[in-house]
Amino acid sequence: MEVKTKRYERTMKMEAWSQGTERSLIRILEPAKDAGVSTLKVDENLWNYLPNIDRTMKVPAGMMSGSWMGSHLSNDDLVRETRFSDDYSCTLTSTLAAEPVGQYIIDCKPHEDAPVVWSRVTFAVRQDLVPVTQDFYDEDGVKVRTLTFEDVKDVDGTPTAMTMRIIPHDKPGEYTLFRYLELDLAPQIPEGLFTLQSLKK
Amino acid sequence: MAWRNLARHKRRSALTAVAMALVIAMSMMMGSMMAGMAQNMTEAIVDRSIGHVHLNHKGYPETISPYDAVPDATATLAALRARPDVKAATGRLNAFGLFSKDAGHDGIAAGEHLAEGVVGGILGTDLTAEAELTRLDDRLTRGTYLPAPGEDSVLIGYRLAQELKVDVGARLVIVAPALDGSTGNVILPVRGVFNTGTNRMDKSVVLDLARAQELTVQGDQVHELVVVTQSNERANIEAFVASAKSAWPDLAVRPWWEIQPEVVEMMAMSDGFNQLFILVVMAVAAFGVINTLLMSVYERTRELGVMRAIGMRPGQIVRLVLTESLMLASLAAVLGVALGGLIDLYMLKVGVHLAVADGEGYQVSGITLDPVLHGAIRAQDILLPTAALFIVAAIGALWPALRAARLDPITAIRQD
Repeated sequence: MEVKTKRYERTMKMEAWSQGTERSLIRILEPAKDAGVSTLKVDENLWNYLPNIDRTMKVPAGMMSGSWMGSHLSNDDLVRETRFSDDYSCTLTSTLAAEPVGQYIIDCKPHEDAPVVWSRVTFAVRQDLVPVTQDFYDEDGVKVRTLTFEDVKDVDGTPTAMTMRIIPHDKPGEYTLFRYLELDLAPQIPEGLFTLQSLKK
Repeated sequence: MAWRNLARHKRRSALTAVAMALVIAMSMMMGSMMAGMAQNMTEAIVDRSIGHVHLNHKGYPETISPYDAVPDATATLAALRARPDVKAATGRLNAFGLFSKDAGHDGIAAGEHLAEGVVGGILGTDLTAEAELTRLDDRLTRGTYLPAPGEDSVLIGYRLAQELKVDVGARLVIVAPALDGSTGNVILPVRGVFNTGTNRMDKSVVLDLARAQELTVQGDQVHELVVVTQSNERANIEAFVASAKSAWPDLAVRPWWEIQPEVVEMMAMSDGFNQLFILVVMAVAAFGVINTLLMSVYERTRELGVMRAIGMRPGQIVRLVLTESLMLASLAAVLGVALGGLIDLYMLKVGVHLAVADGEGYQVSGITLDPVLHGAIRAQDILLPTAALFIVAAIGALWPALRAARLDPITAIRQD
């Protein structure tokens, strides 16, 4: 992960496991200063493990809007993803002829009383289901964030975007880039991986 | 003659004078209490947390961003300390963190340390300088102020300590966002608990400046330079601010009343209430004066008629009644100031207990006042009600006086 902000730049190498959108475990490998710092997500709960002090802390409600590991993702973004299909309803607005594969343009609006941050999310997805872009709009209808997916490779027969870039439009010049160095789409997930015990490991 | 007229109805005159005296005494007491409260609040915020003047990065007062550190802080601080009008100065780092009580390494099984943390402030400062600036060492309720050489520990505000259920000797988990995007984290033993009377401070921990800079990856930067000038006088602080502004045009220089404007507003409001109170009791006093003099004018209709008949001019009659009123006011003023003075002295020396049930002080906009409120004596609180009383006595006497002057001597003499 590369983070570039007006104030700092940081690059981290991490390993992550996920199962559906409900569970994931992320562990930082580099830099050495942060090695072992881990995040566990189960449904809408988030825990951080800090190896320096050997302590696990649940992220409190008041800190959910804070940045995750200094990136342009908030703690909230990590858990919101789980609820996306519950909170929004989507319509296919058009199909686009593009190279190398045609794209679907999808428009999503939140349900009336869904507790969401975005008033509208639009997707451009290739017809082979590889994401291309995602745009997020705030409650005033202003586009505040764009996700772009690039570098499509064939992973075990499935075309997959190997990089994802988050561009916050309210902070010119800043971005967070995720790049897969290795990707296994059908891993053997050991029993009890998404638990507090394995967070410490 | 005016004095003899008053003396003819001793009881009525005395009652009116006493009522007027009470008005003065009460107004003085109100003024003294308000002034005492204002003094108390100023001491609480200025002496115990803010100091007199802050110097910040130009943008910091708006953004409160940890990245807006004071530029060239070391040189500026040295220059500040060298000034003859500066009594003490130091650099402070402001941050916030997530705190929890450490339940030990096997806490997962017990599930205890998975409780959500409490968010509070982190103040990094030079402890020796802080003791000189805000007497933080005097505010310690338990534990020791300075660490033993090589000891790495933390002071905690009593509100935060209460919320986390920690005390001296407990271990505190501190997690704080750092400037490089990482998360600073450390476990430190609690060395002492303090109670400053300001909510913001009492929900914070105090770390040695260098320790706080390390935790939040702040380098050698600070967010504010705090100055205490040679005297508490506002004019003195204003002079320092003006001179510091021209010496450091690139910094934001703010006196305490700009940093905590709510306190100033609060004081202005209490002064306003005080004046309203004086206005109301003075109106009551005015009716007393009108009543007394009107009665005495009615009773003396015949007598006043005779005086007019033997050649006294209406102007002289008006002057007579006004003199009576003002004499009454003078008597009341002497009595009232004496009584009010005694009350004020009591308030100054002994004070009144405002303690609420839990023995804590009385809270005003996040600042805890001393449980015992001591009054303060200001010249304006004595002069204002006294002057107001004389004005009321003069205006209140005008109607009866004019009535007496307009009497037709012939009808007046015929009346019993």
